[in-house]
Amino acid sequence: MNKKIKNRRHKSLKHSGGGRIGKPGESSVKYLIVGAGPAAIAAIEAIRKRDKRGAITIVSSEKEVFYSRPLISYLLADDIGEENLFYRGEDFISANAPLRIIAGAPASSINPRDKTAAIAYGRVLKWEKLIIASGGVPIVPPAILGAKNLRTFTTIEDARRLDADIKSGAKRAVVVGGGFIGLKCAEALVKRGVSVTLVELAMHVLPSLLDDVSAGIFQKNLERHGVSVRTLSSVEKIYDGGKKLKLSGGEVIETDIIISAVGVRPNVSFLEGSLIRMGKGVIVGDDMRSSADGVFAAGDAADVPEFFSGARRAVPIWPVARQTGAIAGENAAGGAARAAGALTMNSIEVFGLAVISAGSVNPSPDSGTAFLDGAAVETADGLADLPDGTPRYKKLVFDGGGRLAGFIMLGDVERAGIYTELIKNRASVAAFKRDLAGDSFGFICVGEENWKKRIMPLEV
Amino acid sequence: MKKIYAKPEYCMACRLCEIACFVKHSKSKKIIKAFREERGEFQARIIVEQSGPVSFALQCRHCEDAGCIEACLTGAMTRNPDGAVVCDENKCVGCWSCIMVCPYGVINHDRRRKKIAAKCDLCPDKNTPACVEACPNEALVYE
Ligand SMILES: Cc1cc2nc3c(=O)[nH]c(=O)nc-3n(C[C@H](O)[C@H](O)[C@H](O)COP(=O)(O)OP(=O)(O)OC[C@H]3O[C@@H](n4cnc5c(N)ncnc54)[C@H](O)[C@@H]3O)c2cc1C
Repeated sequence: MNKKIKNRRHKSLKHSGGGRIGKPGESSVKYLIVGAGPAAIAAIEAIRKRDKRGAITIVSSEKEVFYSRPLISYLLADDIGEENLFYRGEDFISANAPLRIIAGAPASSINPRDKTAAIAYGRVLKWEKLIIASGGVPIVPPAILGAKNLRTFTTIEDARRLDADIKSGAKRAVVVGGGFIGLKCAEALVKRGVSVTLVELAMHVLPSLLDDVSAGIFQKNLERHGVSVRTLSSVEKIYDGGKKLKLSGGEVIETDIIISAVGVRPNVSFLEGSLIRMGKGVIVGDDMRSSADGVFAAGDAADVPEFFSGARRAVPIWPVARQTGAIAGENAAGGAARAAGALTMNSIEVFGLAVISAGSVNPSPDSGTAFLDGAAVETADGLADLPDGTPRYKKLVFDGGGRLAGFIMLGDVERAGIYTELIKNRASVAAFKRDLAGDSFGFICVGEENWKKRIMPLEV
Repeated sequence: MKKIYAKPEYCMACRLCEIACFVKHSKSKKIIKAFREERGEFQARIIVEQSGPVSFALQCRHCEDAGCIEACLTGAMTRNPDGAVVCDENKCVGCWSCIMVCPYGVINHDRRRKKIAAKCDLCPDKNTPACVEACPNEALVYE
């Protein structure tokens, strides 16, 4: 892995609080943001649209700020260097001044009544508005807890550690969890010459993104590239500090490293005792306000209103972090913005096979999904290879109201956004369902009244 | 900001705009060479949409509220000072999050150097974008 970033890291560290925020009560900021991921960045940008001068302070538990987590798999695979990991560069800090960054200093507790936050080294900060954008932490199944060779894969430090493992001779890895973090990690490890076994509890990989058919194709591609996939499996027991593990089916696997990638949960343990209303994460309304006055939450740390049901739950994806972060920032700065419900959507490419999935893709009459209204679900599937042999699959899911509720596109993902937009609009597409499902679907399929105003010049 | 607009009533679906765009974004800028050597590796960043007798050419609308910028995982997709939405080819890693959210479906793949997202850049080095110039019937305007 590239070491070029060293410089940048030191530069951003220069912005860390130094000694200027020292004694309790000494320092007060208008906006305090916990976290330095996409939700925090969107919040800063939104605050600055309304308030050019209010002081913003960021506290981040990690030393590196404003980097993109999804890029760590590209880093581990040696596709990019650390210098390419950053979502926003140095100019972002000056462009949003006064912006102070206290990096490598986790918030340890929040007191919403006094409007204070305790951060590392006993410092206390006073704030007027607080935005919690502390992201998620990886979940570790109890069976592998305590393994000496246990790794997770969500931070730049995690990627560096795996890089070091490989450099010091690790040849075999078990990735526990076949969600997108597990798959991107497995791909990167294979690219680095590590042989990987992937253990997935569900029937198939990417259980919430794919259906049986698409997952079957996806899995075959993984295996073709050397990943051994074990579905309907979990780790039952570890031996030798994790060098050997027994799967639920009885199989025993030897490994050098174990990566836990079974998912993330909101990173909110520092809010214990704060009396802020919590579900799994901070419960917020569509304005990203929490139960406490002046306290907002966004991104993976928040339980936000979900798209179809409005129920509060974590929707831990990048676009939602950006969207909710922007709403939190705008409202912290005095706005009255409301977010549309958070729609699950994912785009992932592993070993050259791309898939995009959004909304409800595995509907069943008993799934209890609110939008189904008990009505029958129609799907339009297609399965055919592309000219270059890449397998292709498409599935559209319509609800009882003739509205598009979800889709999967595998192999050929171009123009997927047309579907995503139709899901978001919640308008009936009953009249052009067949056009939409067809091979040559395009923007023209959304109906003349919809496309006309978007493409034509304004007549004067 | 000036944008490219379509006039469906003049469009004959001749696809000369697609060809002009393809050639403009090719390495050689020469039609035969470009088609022989680069076809399949990237596509025109404009698409002629057709349904029965109706057709129009479509490319990035440079939306004010651009979902592609928000969905981009790397920060490659940004708005430049004159308002155009552009993709920084060096930063892009080809995660296709922009393709996932573009309501017009006008972002595609470019596999020439590495896999990246490609879209209309309004031909920044020209006064009039190549597609508009190529349209024989003024079904595309830049205003
Ligand atoms: C390997 C990987 C691949 C991914 N791929 C995709 C993808 O393809 N598409 C997609 O949509 N999503 C993807 N995601 C998920 C996406 O990265 C997250 O949804 C997104 O980063 C959430 O943003 P956030 O700002 O809420 O939190 P994060 O990005 O997690 O940032 C949290 C910030 O809070 C800081 N912090 C945490 N605790 C504290 C504390 N106590 N005090 C101070 N600071 C604290 C952290 O240091 C960090 O700066 C991926 C994630 C990973 C790990």
